[in-house]
Amino acid sequence: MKRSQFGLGFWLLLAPLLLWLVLLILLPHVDLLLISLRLRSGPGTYRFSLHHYAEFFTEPLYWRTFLRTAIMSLLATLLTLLIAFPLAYYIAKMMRGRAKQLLFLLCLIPFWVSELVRTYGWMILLRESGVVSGLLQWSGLTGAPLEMLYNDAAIMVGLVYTAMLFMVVPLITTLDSLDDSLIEAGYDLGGNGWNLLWEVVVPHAMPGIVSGCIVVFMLTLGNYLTPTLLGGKDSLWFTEQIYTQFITRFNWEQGSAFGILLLLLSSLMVWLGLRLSGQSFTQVMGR
Amino acid sequence: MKSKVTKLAGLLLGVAAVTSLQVQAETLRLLTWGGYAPQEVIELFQQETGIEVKVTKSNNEDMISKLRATGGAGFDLAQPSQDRISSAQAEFNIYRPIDLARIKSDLFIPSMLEATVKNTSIGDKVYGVPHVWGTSGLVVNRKAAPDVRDYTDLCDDALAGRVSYRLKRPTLIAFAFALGEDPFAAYGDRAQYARILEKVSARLTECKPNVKKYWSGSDDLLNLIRSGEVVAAMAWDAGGWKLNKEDPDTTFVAPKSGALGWIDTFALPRKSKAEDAAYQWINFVMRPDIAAKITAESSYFTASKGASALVEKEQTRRFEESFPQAAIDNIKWYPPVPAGLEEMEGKVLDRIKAHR
Amino acid sequence: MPVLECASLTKRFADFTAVDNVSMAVEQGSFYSILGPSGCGKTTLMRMLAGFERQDSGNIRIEGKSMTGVAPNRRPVNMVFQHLALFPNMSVAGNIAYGLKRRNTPSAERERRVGEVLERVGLAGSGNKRIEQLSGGQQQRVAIARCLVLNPQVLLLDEPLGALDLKLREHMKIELKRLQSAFGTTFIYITHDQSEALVMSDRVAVMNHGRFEQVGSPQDLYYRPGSAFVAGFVGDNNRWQGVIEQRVGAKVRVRTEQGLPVEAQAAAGFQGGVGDAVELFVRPEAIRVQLQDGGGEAENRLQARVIEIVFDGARSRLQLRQADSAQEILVNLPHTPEFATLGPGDRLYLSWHAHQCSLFTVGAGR
Repeated sequence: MKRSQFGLGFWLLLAPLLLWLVLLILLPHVDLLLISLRLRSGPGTYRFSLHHYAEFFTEPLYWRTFLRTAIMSLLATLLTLLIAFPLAYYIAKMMRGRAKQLLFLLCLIPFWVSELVRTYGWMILLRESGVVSGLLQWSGLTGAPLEMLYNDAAIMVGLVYTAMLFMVVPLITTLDSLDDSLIEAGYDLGGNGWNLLWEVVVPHAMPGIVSGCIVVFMLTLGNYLTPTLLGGKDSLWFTEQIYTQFITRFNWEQGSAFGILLLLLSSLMVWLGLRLSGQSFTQVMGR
Repeated sequence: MKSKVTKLAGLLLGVAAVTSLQVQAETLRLLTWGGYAPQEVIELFQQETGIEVKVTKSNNEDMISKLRATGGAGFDLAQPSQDRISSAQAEFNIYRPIDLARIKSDLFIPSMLEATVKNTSIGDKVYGVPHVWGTSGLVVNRKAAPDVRDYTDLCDDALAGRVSYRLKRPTLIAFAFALGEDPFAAYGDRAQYARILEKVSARLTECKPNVKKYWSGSDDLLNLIRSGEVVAAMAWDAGGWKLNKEDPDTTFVAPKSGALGWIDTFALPRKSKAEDAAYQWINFVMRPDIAAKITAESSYFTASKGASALVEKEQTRRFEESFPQAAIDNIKWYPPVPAGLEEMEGKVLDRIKAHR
Repeated sequence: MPVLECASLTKRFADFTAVDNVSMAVEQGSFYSILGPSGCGKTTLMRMLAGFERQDSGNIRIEGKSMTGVAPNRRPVNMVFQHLALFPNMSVAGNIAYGLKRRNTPSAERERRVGEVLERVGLAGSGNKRIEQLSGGQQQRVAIARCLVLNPQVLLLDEPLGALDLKLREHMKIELKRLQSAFGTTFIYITHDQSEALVMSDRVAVMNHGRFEQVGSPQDLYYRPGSAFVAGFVGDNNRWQGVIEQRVGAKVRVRTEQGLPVEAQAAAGFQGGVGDAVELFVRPEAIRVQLQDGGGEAENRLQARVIEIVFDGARSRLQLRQADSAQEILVNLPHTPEFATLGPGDRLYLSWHAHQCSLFTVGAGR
């Protein structure tokens, strides 16, 4: 009478998930890896080679762009955290009832339009003939039109703006679950705001912080639109390199090698983030 | 029982076949540039033939990438530039030969047809026939930047932060000519070509602070010029003429070292499913009346014989203002790109982009 | 001088008054309980003492110093929270050392004091454990140790036993009392459980609707409730509505609504006269139950039949009905052998003294 735990029903239910994982995630990556490991030896013929990886390490442009992308993404993640944390704390701990929901909704509203539209919004604000420049001239703070677009600061603004929601939501969720009495207890025992933040609030919010940072870092690292549109001639983003290799240069092999390297980088960063914060992956993603 | 199932299956297959045939017969999937297939022309074509045209806007690199990814499937007719066909075909085998007998060759300007056929042939197989031609040169606001006569004038200090060009191979070629080189003559000599690229790269790197941004789409550039943020740019002639309609100060200027002439073609993707419709479309849009409509819509001129007589006067005036006879004679027409050059150019472009 | 004094404390929220003109004085080293049903304002009162709420009017003094405007982290009081609020990311020792660190106690002394207090609460050697490794009772003791290590003038406890199961709660009551007398610290203890208050406290304040109904020793509250609310809230009681039929000095006869005449003795200050509506309380455990009429000098003697036996071990009750008046009476079931065969319908003889009744006029309160 005893039936196997893994009966037909189990496999049928699992099938869509497995199909999805294998067809849409595993296979493309395996293909990417295989393409990256071949070298064109003549029209339409290829042989195995690590040439495209060697190319990455010997061509300063490539690894510098890679490094720059990684560092800018880290910085963007940090900035997003610094801005999102007080915001999330305010919404989760200081607000009650309707005001809380309203504020949360306000955080969501920018995400009702596509990333492209949001980025164009920033372009309208920051460009030389744009709103901010116009306001500054009108108020007399500056005499001539001011170009605020096409630099690293503009990229950073765009990246932080794009990623904000993905930081705020996990932070609000974890901070919401922080018992107020823990803060009061710390206060009661002689603590002040600063050490309460470090000894009580931050440790409690750590899973949210880590999960937010992981998501934001990966989104930023893989972002293509924002750096390209807001960065102009100096954008230099690694995804842009991948795009160029695939589309402009027809060099799928190099593009695939770049893709694999980017995948390795983000995996490494996630692993480091989890290690440094002492969190487990399941704990963080369960938030 | 079994026969019933077989019958049913056969019936279903038959229905599927018929439907797909109908879909094939009635749709032409066109991979082209913005402005080459105006809505009005598409509607006229459908009235005449019953064939529906689905347009995907693209550019040279994107066309090759798309067709490469599918081995030449997904589209029934493409419009790459004539110089980009033979190398892509040799490398990726994405096109099928064109049967010239099915083209009404008397609709074409003979010299253009001949040149294109020659440039797009591999052995005795022909892969392209001409459609639209135009040039790259300078679009200039003559009031704000009166001294811009050649590509290198974009690097003038007086225009710092006020100029734009694309970071693509035409820019490399253009600057090579402006610096007194002949890159087309060096196509066959990689060492010489590399030397020229080195020289161009140095100049473009030096020029980089002058550039507001590298434009990527035609609309992007036109908006920059309209808002006055950019006063001189390297761009396509049609864009300059479009702006001239709105503001007489701005127009297309043929550079001293020569405008770069390109011809966009018709090419059949290898797995085209509507070859008949493709030939019908080619013969339809090359009719002088239809070709004139395309010119009116996009400011581009076509290889259609006799269409220029039907183009409105203003358009002709703009063309003649930009192109005195000497400038026409000085147009540098792109020869086919040998394989391998684009890789060299790619690295140079990357380095220019990376320089800060 | 009392260690903690409140004068006319009042706290209003938008639409109601949580604490209404409360004054109290707590003696150094005593165990002081505030007992009341939920919503009576006791938690608000305690949060004002800790400094988490600011009073609208009135004053709090600790050791003679006014606490008005003094932040919670600067008050010489500490609080044990209802759900303990131990820091889950710190070890046991880390939790206890937290307050010492905030006072910049040198680390050697800190370690010594943490070890000391752990020993005194019976958790020696558990310093490196994580909080979730401890049992509920042990966590309780860590929460208390965390406060006591700071030598507060007053320790506030907000229903800390509420989350424990019954057996452990009984045990912790004794334990808490023992800790309090061992440390000699003043405890102010909030609870809605009258048993906790009665077992541990030196003094108990019964709170209702934001006011103190009565302040006294546990015995005072039990034997001499000052109001109908206290009589009903502290311990179990038969609560009967009635009218005064006759009053001679302190001797009062009341007829209940069901018609049972009861002899009662008025407390000092009882103002009721003949015809006044009253509430009358008799504790089930104060009524003597016999199978035979045993006579005796008790003023109230009557017969009743068993309706129902409510079995609850040592706290088992008998639901009785007096034959003439149909008055229902609750009494304790004696566990002596002669009652072993008792069943519904059996006749019992009840008796109690007049001075065992508490009497309050209706409406006036006391």
